[in-house]
Amino acid sequence: MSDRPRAHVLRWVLAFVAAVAAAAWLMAEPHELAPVRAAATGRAEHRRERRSYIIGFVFAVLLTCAAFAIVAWRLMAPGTALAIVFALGLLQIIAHFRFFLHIDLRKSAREDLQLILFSSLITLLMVGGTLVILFNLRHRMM
Amino acid sequence: MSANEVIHAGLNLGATDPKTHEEAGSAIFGFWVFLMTDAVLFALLFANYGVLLSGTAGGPGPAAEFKLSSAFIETLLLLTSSFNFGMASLAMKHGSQPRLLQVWLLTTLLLGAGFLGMELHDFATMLSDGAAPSRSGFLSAFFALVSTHGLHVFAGCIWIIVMMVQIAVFGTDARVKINVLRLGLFWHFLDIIWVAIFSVVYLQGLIR
Amino acid sequence: MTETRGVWHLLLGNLTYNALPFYSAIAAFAAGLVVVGAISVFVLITWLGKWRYLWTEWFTSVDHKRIGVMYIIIAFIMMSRALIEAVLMRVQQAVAINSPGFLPPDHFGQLFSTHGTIMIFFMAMPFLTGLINYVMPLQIGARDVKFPLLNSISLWLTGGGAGLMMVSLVLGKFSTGGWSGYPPYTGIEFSPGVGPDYWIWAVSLSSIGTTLTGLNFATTIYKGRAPGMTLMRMPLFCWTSLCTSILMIFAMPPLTVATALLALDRYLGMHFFTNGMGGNMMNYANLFWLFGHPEVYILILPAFGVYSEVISAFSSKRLYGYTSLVCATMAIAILSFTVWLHHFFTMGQSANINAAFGIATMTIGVPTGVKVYDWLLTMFRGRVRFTPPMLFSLAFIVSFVIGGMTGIILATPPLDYMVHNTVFLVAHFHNMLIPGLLYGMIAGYQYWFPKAFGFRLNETWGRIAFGCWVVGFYLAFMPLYVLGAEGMPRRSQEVFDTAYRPWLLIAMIGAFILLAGLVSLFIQLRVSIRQRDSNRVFAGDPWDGRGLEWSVSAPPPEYNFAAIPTVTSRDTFAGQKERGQAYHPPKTYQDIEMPKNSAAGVVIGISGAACAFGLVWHIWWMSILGLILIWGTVIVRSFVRDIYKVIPAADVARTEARWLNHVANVRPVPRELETTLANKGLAESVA
Repeated sequence: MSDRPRAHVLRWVLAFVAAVAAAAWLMAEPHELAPVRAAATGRAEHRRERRSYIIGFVFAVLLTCAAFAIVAWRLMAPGTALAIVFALGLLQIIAHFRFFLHIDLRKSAREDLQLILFSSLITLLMVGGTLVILFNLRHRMM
Repeated sequence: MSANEVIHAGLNLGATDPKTHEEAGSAIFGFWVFLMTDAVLFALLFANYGVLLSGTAGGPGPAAEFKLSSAFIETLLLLTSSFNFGMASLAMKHGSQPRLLQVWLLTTLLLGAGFLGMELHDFATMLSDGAAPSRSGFLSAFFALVSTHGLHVFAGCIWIIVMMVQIAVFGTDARVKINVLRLGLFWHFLDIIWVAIFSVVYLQGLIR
Repeated sequence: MTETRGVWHLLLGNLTYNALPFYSAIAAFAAGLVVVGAISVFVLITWLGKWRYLWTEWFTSVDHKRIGVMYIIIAFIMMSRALIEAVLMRVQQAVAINSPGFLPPDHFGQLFSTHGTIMIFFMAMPFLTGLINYVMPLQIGARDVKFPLLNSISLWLTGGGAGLMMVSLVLGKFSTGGWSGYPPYTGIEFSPGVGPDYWIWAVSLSSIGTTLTGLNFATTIYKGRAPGMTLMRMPLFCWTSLCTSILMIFAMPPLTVATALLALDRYLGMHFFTNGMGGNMMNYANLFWLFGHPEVYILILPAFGVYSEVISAFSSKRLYGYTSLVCATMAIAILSFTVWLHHFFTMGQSANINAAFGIATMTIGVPTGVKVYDWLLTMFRGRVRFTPPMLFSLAFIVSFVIGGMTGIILATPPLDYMVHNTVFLVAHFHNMLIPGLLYGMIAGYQYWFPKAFGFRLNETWGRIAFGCWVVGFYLAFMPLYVLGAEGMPRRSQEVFDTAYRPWLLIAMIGAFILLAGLVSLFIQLRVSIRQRDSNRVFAGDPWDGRGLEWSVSAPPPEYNFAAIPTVTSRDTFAGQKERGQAYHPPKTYQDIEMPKNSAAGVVIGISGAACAFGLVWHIWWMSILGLILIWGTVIVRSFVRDIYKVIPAADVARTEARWLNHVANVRPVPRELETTLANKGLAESVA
């Protein structure tokens, strides 16, 4: 692989790794941002849950603004910009799962997690497979 | 005791209504499965978009037709509506009166309707520009993906209206609560799809 | 004049007198059969005064047992039509050697398209859905599936699709694009008629029903098992049902997308799959087979589950290698999503991609092989009884392995280039579907029929059916392997090489024998109904079964179990019998809450079919009305609060007492006598 494609791939890999790492932090971190009470009394639980939505909303707005800013103000080269935009999107989706849908790796029901992970696998196979195959076909038709 | 356990996706009623919480387990799981089928459907529409992105057939491409500002406003509208629904869910879980719940549902609905209105306006502009779905493969793919999402949001809005009527008629009994929980999953899910749409379609199309 | 034509056009869309099939005697005859058949059924039911009974006991039922039976009835009816179509095609190919035969190309094209579409979507899917529907909740110790109303909706959507297929015989022509419907041929430019529209909407109705069914089954198995029944204590049929439903959930959306995009191309002039204007027709094949490959695993996994149950029961032995069977089933389910490209090796992608998918395809053979060995080892040192279900299972093992090996041939890209789209492929997939899927469905039907209806099926006719199905299959399809290797293309209305003649004649004879097999099954049913009083097995356990479904009466009460059992091991009922704990009444009887009947399923199914019919013929008001009715029903139903009925504890006690009393008074039979009149449904306890 020559230098340019390698830098290109590296960019994507780094963005993806950063996103996944942040995601793992989001899912696994025991509520540094919203402390858990041992016995979830009504009031405390209400406050905690409201906190969750507010934090999620703020996160999402920030991530959205960042992504749009990168494109609107042309902050970086197109290839990098795309990678970062996708990574920000992935991060925001995970934030939605965590703060709006209350899905985190520790507490959720086993079956829900199995379902999400399996769905992600299938989606990856189908979308990835489609893109690989169709791009290969296009390349061979050029 | 499963009253405080998280037994399904989304907000769990937990100790505030243990009986309904128990019943919700299968109902919400089933709806979650349905959302996964919907997720695969959208994923394939995204893949289709990726395949047909270069199929502009000499017609208008993304840069010509997409507007960053309206995409941004639509995103904020939908995101805020998602947050509002979260507040509605909390009002239902912790509140004793349905009135607050109704207010939050109404604001969610208005924001969702605002989103749809802007989107339709965008489409109308594109159509008057000659960027119709029948113009090229790229435009077909764009309209298929974004309209499918829009149709889902529309269905969600109808559902909100139905729920508001049901809350007025039945109050927040078990079935109403479970239905609102499901609607919540649906609404948040649609916002997640929109994040993917603005990233893959609008931002990708406008990066220079 | 223009105004009148305008009004008619608004009312009837593109539907005109020309839609009637008077262009062909055979087509007109078939249409006549459909019309006469439908009218006869209506008249018969009216004359017998059975409408109320059918409405309250069957059509509006949300009971999984009733719904399961109705699914299987749909399957048998549609199988009759599709099998006759197959015979017609076999006869045509046998006589049309350097001559036009009796079926013009257009008609032949419709035949192979309807044959495939019906067999997959309206025979196989309903059959397996019906079996799973009936058996799975009983096996997991549940009273019903988790979403009974959704179950009814799925049934009626499928029925609506089947109805649409039957209407296509009378009005208009069906697609000639095969069951896979590839554009651009099925696009509006090359198929401007209603054919592909019929195909799209019939398939869509069926696939929506299936998606909802998969959702229902998965939730039921995950959330509805009896206490103590961990996943690893479930019968294997439930494991295959779980994996099948997971496949249904994930495989149907690609089909929905493919057909929807094709519909958008046809109706609104879009360019997803057009030849030009930025379209990409190869993406259709990709999307379709993303569905199509998992689909064939949806078809086969329930059959594998049936074989596990049947082989274990009729070997009087515990299933060998339960854990490996579970792992193999899961492996097959996951791997089935990684191989779809092998359906279009020749489409033009690079050798590396072909190789990757070819290797993945061969890998699926491994877990299947594991299963075959597990079944063989189950039989080993068992007391094997050669009842018809067991005979079908044995024929399956031999025949399916042959088919699997030809699958390995096809999985090798360079070999596939030689035989792609020849009848070699046709032979292969029928080799998998008939001995694999169909023998399994027939075995399951014969195995569980006594449970569902309370009397055994006639053994002799079961064996005759077995003989016909096996001999017929081999005669009909083995020649196709030879012909395919010699280069005969599939879907050929006429052939031009006289060397094919002997093989095609043998295949034609085979087709007739297969038809005889189906007729034998119908005769078996008729004879069994006549003999039902002597063959009753009310006690409920005619085969000395191992699972919970055999621990209730035959037929089971509406609520399945008087008290939900607590499970402590696999093969629960077998364990109970061994410990002498079977047929013990519960300490107390409770009121049982069951869902009420509902017309929602019927309305939604019929409205869906009407909407589809309107879309086919551009009768827009009908489609809009259909959609409004569907969504209106959903919304109105959500306002109905009174959806449960209570079966009082006293009624439950009475039903159970009657049954347990019967069990106490009936003589148990040893296995040697299980196919005789002595079998009253009670097995000799082994303890």
